[in-house]
Formats: sequence, C-alpha cells, structure tokens
Amino acid sequence: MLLDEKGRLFGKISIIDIGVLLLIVALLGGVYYKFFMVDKDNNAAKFDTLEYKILVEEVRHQSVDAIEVGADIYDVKTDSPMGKIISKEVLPATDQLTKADGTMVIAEKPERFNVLVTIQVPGVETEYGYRAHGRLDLNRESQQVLDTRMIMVETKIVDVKNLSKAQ
Amino acid sequence: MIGMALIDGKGRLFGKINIVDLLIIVLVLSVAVAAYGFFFGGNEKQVLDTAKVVYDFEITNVNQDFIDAIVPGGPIRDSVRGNDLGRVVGKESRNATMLNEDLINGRYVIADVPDAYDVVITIEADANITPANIIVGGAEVKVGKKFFIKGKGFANQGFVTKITLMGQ
Repeated sequence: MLLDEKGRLFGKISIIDIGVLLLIVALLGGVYYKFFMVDKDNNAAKFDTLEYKILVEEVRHQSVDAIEVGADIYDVKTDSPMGKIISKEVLPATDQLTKADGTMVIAEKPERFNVLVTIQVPGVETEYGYRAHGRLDLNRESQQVLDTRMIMVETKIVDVKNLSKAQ
Repeated sequence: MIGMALIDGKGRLFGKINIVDLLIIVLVLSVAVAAYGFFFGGNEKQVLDTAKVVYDFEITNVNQDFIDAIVPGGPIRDSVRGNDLGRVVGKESRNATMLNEDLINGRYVIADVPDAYDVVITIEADANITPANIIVGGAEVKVGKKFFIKGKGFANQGFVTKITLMGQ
C-alpha cells in the first residue's frame, strides 16, 4: 500500500507533510536562485559580457528604421531584459537565382534589406556554450526573435563571443 | 449526505486529507506564487506611462472599394479579440507591388499588380507604455506585428509598419 488509511506514505510520512516540505524547499530554492544566481543588478560581476550578432533578413526600410541602436532587447516570452543593441549594419538583401539559361547568379532584391545587429548582454560561457543572463542559449544558426519596444522580428544568430575573455 | 461523504467526522477530506492541512497547502502555495511574482516578475511588465501613440498599419493587395471604406475618425478593432485598437487619422494608398524573378536577366524586379493597392492606415490610440512594450487595447503594438483588424464595413489582416510615441 502506497498510502495507508491515514494518508501516510508507506505508513510513515504524511503525504501532506511531504507536499508542504516540497513547496518550502522550492520556495527557498527560488529565493536562492534569485539572489545568488541571476540578479543582474546585484550579481552582474558574476557574468561576463557576451556579444552576439543576429541577422534580420529581407525586411523593408520600415523595419530597418525600427531597429534602434541603444534599444533594450527583451525575451519574447517573459519580457526579461536580454541585452542592448550596440550597432546595426544595413546590407542589401540578396538571393541565389537560377537564370533561364541554367546559370546561377546572386541577385539583389530591390527595397529589401538584411540587417546585421550587434547585441551585448551579460551572460556566462561554459564548455557547452554561451547563455545570456545564464538562461538563454546563444547558438549560431539558431532562430531568435528580436523583441524591442518598437519591433518584433524573426532573426538568426550568426556569431557569438565572450568579450570579457577577449580583453 | 454529500457533505458528510466529502468531510468525515474528523474533518478529513475523503477520509484521507485533513481540511486544515489543505488550507495550509493553499496558503503556502499562495505565498509561493506571490514570492515568484515578486522575485521573478521583474518590472518589465509595469506600466511606466500612458501616452498617445500613432502607428501605421499596412494592408496589401486590396481594391479601391476597400480603401474607400476606410474613413478618418472611424474606430479600428482587433477582429479576433474585439479589442479597441484606436481610430483612423489618415490613410495613404499606392499601387500594389510584387517582388518577381526576371529569369532572363537574372535579377529581381518590383512589378505593379494591376487594379490592386497597398493601403497604409494611420491609427491613433491611447497606449500603456512598459519598458518592453507599447500596449494598445491589451495588445502589444510593434513594427512587424500582424493583426486581424476590422472597421466599419471592412476587415483584413496586415502589419504594423511604423510607430510614433507622441510627446516622447
């Protein structure tokens, strides 16, 4: 019998007591995590400065204008701060095109632009990779939503490095 | 009879869980949720300010009748959620275009679409401003954000293309 008639696990510990204990442990764990692991204001020194580049592809000038240097970036799900835009480079959007004669060319798309955005964020580097604020994985070729107060657009991470180690 | 079956003479729910224990659990759970909100919620969702916002909303490939139905002063709603997204303060239309492949010359060209138009509706609304968002009618308004909107006699989908916060 897993639970006896008194609601005790294996006749020894009350299932309610276990539940309360687990909740208290979870609460204490959360407080520890907040104060000693991820609070950027109090524990920024524990983080390195990560710099990563994202590529916004084939957008129009309205989107280019809405990507503002200096803007804060937020996690699209939680609205947690995820760094700041340091610079942006606007490039013509291009794509491969197979001509009627079978040859291929790289052709420019009129009125479409690629934007290379450089972002800096506190984070950690481990042997497994880079994590912004210790939470968000930054991997080349992975998709990321660029979410500032002004714009939300799908992007691709194209470069990531640890600036603190580079210095 | 139902009450007696639910809680026995010793105050136990279904004869197993003490009702007092249950209340303690609920209390601890509430404290945990409140603590989570306090510690993890951050202030990114806090409304810092309210302001007028003027934003452009582009709908592509519509006909002239659709454009004529958009009247300055008319209300705009989110046609999915029904929320108020502001009022029309202007509109501007141009020929609809498409990005096509010119396979003879190996280039992309922008071609006009006959009898079709792209219209940009300028909408003014009251917005709540948070660090992360500009919120109109409960919805985050951002460049690139897709909405299904409706006005008087028209409905369509489109994208926000420009945002101006008034007085900032």
